[in-house]
Amino acid sequence: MHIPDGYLSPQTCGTLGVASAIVAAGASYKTAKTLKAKYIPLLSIGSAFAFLIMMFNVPIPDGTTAHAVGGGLLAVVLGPWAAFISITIALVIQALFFGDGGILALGANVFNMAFILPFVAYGIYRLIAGRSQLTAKRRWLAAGIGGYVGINLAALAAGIELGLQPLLFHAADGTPLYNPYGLSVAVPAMSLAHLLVAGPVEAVVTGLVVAYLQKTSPQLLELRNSTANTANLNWRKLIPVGVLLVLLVPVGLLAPGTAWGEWGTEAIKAKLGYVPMGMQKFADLWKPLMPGYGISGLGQNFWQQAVGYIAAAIVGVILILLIAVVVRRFGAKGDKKHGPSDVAPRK
Amino acid sequence: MEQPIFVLDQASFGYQSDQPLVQELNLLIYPRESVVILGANGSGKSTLLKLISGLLYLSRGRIAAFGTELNEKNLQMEDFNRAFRQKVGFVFQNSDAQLFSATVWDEVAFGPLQLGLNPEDVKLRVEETLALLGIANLATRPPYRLSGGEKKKVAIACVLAVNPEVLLLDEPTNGLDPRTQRWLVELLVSLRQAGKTIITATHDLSIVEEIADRVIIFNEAHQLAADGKPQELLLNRQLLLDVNLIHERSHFHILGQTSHAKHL
Amino acid sequence: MDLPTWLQENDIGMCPCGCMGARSKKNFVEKTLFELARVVRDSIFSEELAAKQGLLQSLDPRSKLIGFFFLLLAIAIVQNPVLLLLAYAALVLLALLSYVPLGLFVKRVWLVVPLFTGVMLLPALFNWLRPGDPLITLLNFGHVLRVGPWNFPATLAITRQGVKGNLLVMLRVGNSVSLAALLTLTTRWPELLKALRILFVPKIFITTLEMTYRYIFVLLALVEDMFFARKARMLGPGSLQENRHFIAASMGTLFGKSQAMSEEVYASMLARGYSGEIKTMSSFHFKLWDWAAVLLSILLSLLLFVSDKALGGNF
Repeated sequence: MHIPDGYLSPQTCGTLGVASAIVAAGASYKTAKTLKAKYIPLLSIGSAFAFLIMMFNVPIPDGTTAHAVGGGLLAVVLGPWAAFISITIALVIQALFFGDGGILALGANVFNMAFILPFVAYGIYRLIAGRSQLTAKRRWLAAGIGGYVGINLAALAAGIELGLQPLLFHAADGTPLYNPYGLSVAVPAMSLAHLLVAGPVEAVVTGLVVAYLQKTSPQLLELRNSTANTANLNWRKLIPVGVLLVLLVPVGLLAPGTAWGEWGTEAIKAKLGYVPMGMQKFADLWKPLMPGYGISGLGQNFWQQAVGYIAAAIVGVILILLIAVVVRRFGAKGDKKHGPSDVAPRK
Repeated sequence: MEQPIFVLDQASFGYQSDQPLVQELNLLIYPRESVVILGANGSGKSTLLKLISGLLYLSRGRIAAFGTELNEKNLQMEDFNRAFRQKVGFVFQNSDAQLFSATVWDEVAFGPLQLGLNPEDVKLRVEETLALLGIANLATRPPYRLSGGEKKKVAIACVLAVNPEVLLLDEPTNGLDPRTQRWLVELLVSLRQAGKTIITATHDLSIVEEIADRVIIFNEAHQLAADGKPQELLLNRQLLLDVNLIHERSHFHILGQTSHAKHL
Repeated sequence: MDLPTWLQENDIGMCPCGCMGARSKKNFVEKTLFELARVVRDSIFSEELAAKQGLLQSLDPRSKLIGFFFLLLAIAIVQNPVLLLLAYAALVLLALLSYVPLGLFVKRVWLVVPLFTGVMLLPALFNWLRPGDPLITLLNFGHVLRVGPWNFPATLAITRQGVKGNLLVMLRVGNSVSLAALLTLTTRWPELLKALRILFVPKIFITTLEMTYRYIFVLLALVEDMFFARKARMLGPGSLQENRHFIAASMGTLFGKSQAMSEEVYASMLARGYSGEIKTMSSFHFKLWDWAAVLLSILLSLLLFVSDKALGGNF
């Protein structure tokens, strides 16, 4: 479910990024308060754990394998807030270092896999498990069902995000600029894959691991109590935040669709009428230097003028840099770098 | 006579009250002593080190360090906490748990930074410590690319970087090759000559004679079985057998003699 | 010590029946082990590349991060495939100047992107899924097709919009992946994590990230041991149920060990003076060259954006 860069518009990424950032602020407040000083080691190692369980290949009936996200499991053992942070950090490391999921798309991936998945899974787990014994069968069933529903709702969210792209972002001739599949294709495609394959895998992993922990070390299942009790009490306080998110995200997702790229040459011309004048001068100045750039047409169109202007600035910066390098070469010669790699003699 | 650094008075500790890990221990440790704590696996050596370093708190009895009682309340006081952490360095048995930073350099800088040294001094301190232990070439390495011996050196470096008065080591020779073991023993000997107080928990009898001027032995009931000079205790074969530290057929070298199994 | 008789029996042949059996295809154990090894290999590889004295290596990680962010944004906005191709050419040039092996840099992206993105986007070429101006007509049925509740147009054609859109998305994905690869291959990972601070990421988050990065490798060794042990004991493919129970048991064990490890780490942090807030220092050093690089990459991103507007997305 890791969405790579290129499928979502920057506007969508931005909106979901802001939404995820709001949740992240809430999560760090929450965990810092309930976990106190143990916060950093517990969450760091929890995140490393989250990263690694995403690497387990789980055998599936057709003989191949699939990966689980483990979001439901983390929510059950660490509580939803700590799970959010752990998965987020695992996703950041995957995106930065291993190219799994995009960097701009990180906000969207965090929103789906670190927010929706564990929170939904946790809610359902609590609902079904109720006040049953820690070692009751009902608990691991609840965890499995939570994982199943959680990952499917996360997939639904991903499907909607992807499906909105062709509706909102396309060129004048109808060329889709990002993901080309509309809601009617993206949502069923994502949902089907998760209802049939990824969902059962997530459910089996969550349920079996919880059952295993019940058998071998039930005290680990109680860890959550220290992190989740207060979260539980404060559900009400979170309602406004939830409402805000519910309102903001669709508005953010839909609103910028019409304009952004198109806001107009007209508006800018009107507002910044004097800038093109300056640009014109610059363009004239650089014209003899850069004949190959085809600046002859400048002056007719704001964007074309801007091209000339920025190209000129780049040449300027490079020239200044070259001069600086030359000055440094011939000026101060004794500027030696010292690295930390000097090898000390061993005893 | 000089004031002891650590005073343990009827000190007991256990996670559950019916399973004590340290039982009614009375112990005084003086400055510049080099003490080795011997005992079989699970006899409470590590627990004792964690109690002395204020990482665990007693269930019963009292423990004081530098004249102040070691309890949760006192260690939460910022000034005492900082002073105590600076004076008492702890080299953990598991280097992986001790090395939590992204690079060796950051690791060694962690202690000095937490204790409030300014960045310039920290830089100098880190470089000197790395050079002292001969690991300057590892500075930019991430800990996962270190061998077991290198990890131990880095772990010791990060403790030495704050110049502690007391050094606690938990099974320091575990998993080290003979060359690194030798290096470690020599380092401990020089630190001892420099006037540090060193408390080492181990079951490696081969290093005791060189690094200890006092030996404390625990039995499997988590009680103090003996406290004395290494020469006396290590030659008392029956005592070592009683506390299950050695096997009937174990043999080791000490004081130029070989301690052999009696005839079977 | 008296060993039981079964432990004293020694078999010299490879397997009791003397046959080697059929080769089995990669199972979940080997796949997982392979992926774990990839993590270590990648990190060592980039560690070595980052130590070279190339163009990108000479930059402060913070300036690289700012520059790359703007370029990534520009690539996400630009609609003109030609500009994206030019941008890719620039990335290749950067890779060359930074001693990134070109074969690997190109292959890693362009073998993978068409395979995943390309195949996924394939259906979008056709007018049945997304209407557009037909470029090549493949089939002509002469009448509207009704399949159940769906109606399909009379002709099946590859559309101009489909080709252009797919090309655009593939180029975007390829450029974004290449850009990210350049960043991570030329920067030491711990430094990259520290550099995130300039993106207004709170310090506590970065400390947690750094420590996560550290413990991934500790836990990874643990998982590797469990899977090696499993591989060594594996006589046959094992039933689905057995294998899943193994996965669950190893995840459960991993969680228990992680938990114990975090307690130990906490103790060792306390022992070294940690009292709830981590103090850190960084030795980053912004040089003239870094300012220039930031300025240049912002200008280049603007140039991409503005040229795109000037060209109006036509090609």
